[in-house]
Amino acid sequence: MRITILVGTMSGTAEMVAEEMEDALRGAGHTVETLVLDDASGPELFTRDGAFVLCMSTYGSGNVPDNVIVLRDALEADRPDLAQVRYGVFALGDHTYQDTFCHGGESFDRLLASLGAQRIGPIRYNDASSSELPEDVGPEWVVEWAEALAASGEPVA
Amino acid sequence: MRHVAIIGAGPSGCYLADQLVRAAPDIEVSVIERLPVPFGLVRYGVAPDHQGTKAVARLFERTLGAERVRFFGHVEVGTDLAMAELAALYDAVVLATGASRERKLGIPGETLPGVFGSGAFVGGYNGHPDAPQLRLAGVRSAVVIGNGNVALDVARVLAKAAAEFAGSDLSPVLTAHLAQQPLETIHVVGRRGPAAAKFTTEELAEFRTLARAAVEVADPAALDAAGSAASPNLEVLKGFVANPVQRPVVVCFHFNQQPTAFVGDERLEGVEFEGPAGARQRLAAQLAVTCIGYETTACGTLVPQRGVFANEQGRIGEGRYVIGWAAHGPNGTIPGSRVAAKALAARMAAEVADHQRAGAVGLATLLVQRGVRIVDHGGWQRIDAAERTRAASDRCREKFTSVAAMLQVMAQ
Repeated sequence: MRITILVGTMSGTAEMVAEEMEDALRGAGHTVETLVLDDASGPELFTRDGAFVLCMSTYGSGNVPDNVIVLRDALEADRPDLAQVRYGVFALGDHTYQDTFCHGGESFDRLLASLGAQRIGPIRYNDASSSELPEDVGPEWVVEWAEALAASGEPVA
Repeated sequence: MRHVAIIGAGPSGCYLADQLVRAAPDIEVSVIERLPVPFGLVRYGVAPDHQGTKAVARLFERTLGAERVRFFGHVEVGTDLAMAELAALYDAVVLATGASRERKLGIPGETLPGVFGSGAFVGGYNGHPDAPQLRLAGVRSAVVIGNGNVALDVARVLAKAAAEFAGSDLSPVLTAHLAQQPLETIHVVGRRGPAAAKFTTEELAEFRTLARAAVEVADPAALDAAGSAASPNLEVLKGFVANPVQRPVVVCFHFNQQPTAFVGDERLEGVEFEGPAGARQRLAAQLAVTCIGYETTACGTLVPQRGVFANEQGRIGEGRYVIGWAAHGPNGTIPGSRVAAKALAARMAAEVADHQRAGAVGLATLLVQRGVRIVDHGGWQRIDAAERTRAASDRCREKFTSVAAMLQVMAQ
């Protein structure tokens, strides 16, 4: 499968996790590219072939990381039809702030879903205050996710 | 190869090291740290019950172990070698020394037993080798002066019950010592109004989750008076007022109160404040902690002015740079320092020249000649492993709190 990992990060942790995911997916025979989102990232990136993995943290009062804001705002303004897009979500948060735990990943998931994109599998949550290390569980999760993606067949669009 | 020395292994130094090796394949970085252990504010500033925030250390750990990065722990510039000697070995030197000296209020009674600066108190509960052991006595009422996140950390560490430190790295001995205090009230006092408070809203809201403490606001009317400029912090404070709960400990927020004196005969007995229109009040206190900011300190021959090293976009002069709190004062978040590191790394990758300097190899040779006991990355990893291994089952780590104990691990 061809997979693009989209990284939303403030501290760099999600980027570290994405680098590990990339290695794991490649090891499983997939073609992978990691994109750390920036202000030049526009909605057209969803026209790429293949599926997408969002590897995204949460910042401040449950916001998406700063490097995701331009893309989010453009998606909200343009509202492109993303019916051909399939994606998975690895959401990083800190349960110390339980009111907003993983809201960054969740809000971006809702946005993509509202544009017709199809999420494969449930959101995978990771709590920075737990003993579960995202750089360990992220690669394991993403390989299983890619199997579920393959099993789900071609997009209906 | 171009060689860059970064002084200080805190968040700014580690982020910059990471960004420099990403920015240029011909840059090698030495990260030089005064203590045997890295991570600065992440290890010694971030509160022991905020392990999620401390988790960024795993990122820094990878950086220090990266191919073109070398860690020189237990090396102090200005003591073990002169700044000029360091500069002669590298193409560029970056000060990432943070801001470790606490600001003082400069009011009467500040040296009374029972009065702590935030450096001593936070360093104490985080096991900093330079901090005195925290010894409290019969604390029924504590006054925390300041309206930033350090004040919230101090208040929260005091307010939590012992069981709430499960999973943290607060030492069990200190946990028991805090639990022995007959604490009833923690006053958090700001010199300005509630809308000016610098609390991170999520950290203020976290007080809702405390098991044994309720939050009150001394003058709820002040929240409405400040209400024209809606702020998220005000909303959280109003929420506390609107939903009172009964708990054994009260955390009481006061605003617009200027501290004027710490009073007591042999120990602290109270703190005096002057409020709006000159109204004076005295809060009884057996403990006071001033959390009113930090400033950077001299590094070798480089001396700061007004608490920071004067710089132009991170550049001090030819081959000299500064980043983080040493550059702009004690404001900004840990992730924010990554953005600054990216910018400075891009600039340095473009403008640092290759002078054919000796870099890390030269530094190691010089220090070994002088008998300096370098703690390298492997040495730190042994200290790290020993701290985790000796931790109690409900703690993630039991820190060594002296440099001697850290070096002892190296000797084993």
